[in-house]
Amino acid sequence: MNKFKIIFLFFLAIVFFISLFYYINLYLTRTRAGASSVTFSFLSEKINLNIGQIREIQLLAQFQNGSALEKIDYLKVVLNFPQDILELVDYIDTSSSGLGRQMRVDGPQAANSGGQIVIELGAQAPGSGPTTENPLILAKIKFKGKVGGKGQLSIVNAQVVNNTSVEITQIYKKNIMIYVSQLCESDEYCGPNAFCQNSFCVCNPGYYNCDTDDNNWQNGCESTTECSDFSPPPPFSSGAATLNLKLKFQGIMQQPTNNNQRVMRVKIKLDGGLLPEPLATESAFLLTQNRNSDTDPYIWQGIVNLPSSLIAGNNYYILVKGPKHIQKRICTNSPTETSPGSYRCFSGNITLLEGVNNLDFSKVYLLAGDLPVSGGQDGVVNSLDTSYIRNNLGKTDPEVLAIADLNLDGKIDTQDWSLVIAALSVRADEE
Amino acid sequence: MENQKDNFSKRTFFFLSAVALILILSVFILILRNKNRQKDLTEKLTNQISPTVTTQFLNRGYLKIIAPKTQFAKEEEIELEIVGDSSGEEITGFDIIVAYNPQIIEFKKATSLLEDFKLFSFSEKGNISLTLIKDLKSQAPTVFSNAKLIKLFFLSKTDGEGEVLILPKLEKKETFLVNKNTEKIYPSLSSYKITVK
Repeated sequence: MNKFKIIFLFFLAIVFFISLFYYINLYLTRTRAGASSVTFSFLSEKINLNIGQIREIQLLAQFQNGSALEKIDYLKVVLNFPQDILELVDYIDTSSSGLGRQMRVDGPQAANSGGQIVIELGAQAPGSGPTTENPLILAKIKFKGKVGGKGQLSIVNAQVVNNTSVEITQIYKKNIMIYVSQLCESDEYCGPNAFCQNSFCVCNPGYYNCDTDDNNWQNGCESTTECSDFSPPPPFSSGAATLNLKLKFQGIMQQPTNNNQRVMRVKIKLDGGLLPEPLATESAFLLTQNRNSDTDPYIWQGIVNLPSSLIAGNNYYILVKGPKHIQKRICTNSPTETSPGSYRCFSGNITLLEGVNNLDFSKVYLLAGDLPVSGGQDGVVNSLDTSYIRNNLGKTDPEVLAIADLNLDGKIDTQDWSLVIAALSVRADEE
Repeated sequence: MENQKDNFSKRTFFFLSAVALILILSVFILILRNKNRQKDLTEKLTNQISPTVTTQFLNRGYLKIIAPKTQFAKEEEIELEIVGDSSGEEITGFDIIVAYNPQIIEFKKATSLLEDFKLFSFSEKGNISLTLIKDLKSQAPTVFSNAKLIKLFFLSKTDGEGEVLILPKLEKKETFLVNKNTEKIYPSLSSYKITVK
């Protein structure tokens, strides 16, 4: 009997140690590389709406250094909105988040009673959530203007946990201002150089209302020059800087049918200014519905978080390289060019400030042509790139499209060929 | 009484042993499943990183420079030809880097000697980067067999001796041929010595 007891205790010891080993391995010591930070923001810098008007606002999460291996298992965001001027009018759509389990998503009744929205989502099963490789549209929120005024839509709390039960602790939050326009009853209400039309104040031709508060009509339309769109958003983290970049890639003249093609990973290198060495990073850019004109390619927008060690100042320049494109050196905050691809610059004149820096590079083309043929780009447009297109003409396989579908039309064709030929005149990455 | 106690101990022992066995088996199954899942993820990631034909690098064929003579007078036009062999491979494009001594000779122009191939040349002081791409309309297979590919035009400047070389690599640029499977072919390269006096 004693012999049996010893064997039994031996079994129990084995079970205990194996279970302990498995637990430690699974939950305590696994340190897979994951996203270093996440930025929560809205797909608009400010929102203007009238009383009674409904606007949809998209909540976005962008991961720095994310990967295809890392997945999101749990996510919670708490938003505060100015309930005196706004109301939530519909249930929040979280279908685009990739997190199928709604643990708590406040509806209009709960949200409007306290001016707060809690969005708490989980993956259907551990490891089945979206990856951190690409940005996520977490929620589509519909607000209606109640009364005139302004207020801030702010992210007050956020929590993200990945599939190895590791929490991404570095979280950046970008808030936005919302302006609801007041209804008018007479021209007097709208101030000088303005009149009341269908209960809304309208500026006289040639006059503009450029007050920071768009709802301020006390001084009417005080400006005779067009208002600048620039409105400096509040800094989101002391000492840190972010680039809100707009880019334009050669040849993308139509919206792709495949949703995977709406996100592009772009390499960004910042140098000059007071930097001892270049800062290199990679960010996901989303295709927008905007373009500078009907004959211009669509604009891509992305957010690049810069380290807090960056010193605000002048004389920076930025190198931008798309996944199938030649690297472009850009030296001003809003560069322009007369013909596609002709922009060149030498000395950096970009001014960076603490907080969000809006850089509009959408008036210069990023030329396509340096294809990732052998698993990576070689920095030159050459016969390997042209041969790849020639040898894959007519193909629609996703893996081939990922390399050589330059205009995102879902097939490799002569247009892609022409784009590479056009880029041969530039030939190599600008440094 | 003693017998009942003994039976109870035995039953408890067997029950606990069965539980222990089930636990051991469950842990092993979980570990195995986890390993398989990681293997699948790694395979998936590998496929995502290199989704297509990974470019193969082949060493075959040759590129060389030829000319009717090696000695040239001052301010004489120098015509050199690049001849190549693709060792049976069907070629859809190629890149060549040529280096020369700009003190002795001056580069004027380069022309394609292949009807179906368009030439793009980029000249910097002392080197020329040449890219030849096959016309998209041309469907006839192109195999180089000691074929004349490019003609280079220089002008002699001052007395001296120098070499015109085909370089394997210069910064990001390389000399290679590309076959119909989009594989890079690195041919053997040569140089050509010229004298100006």
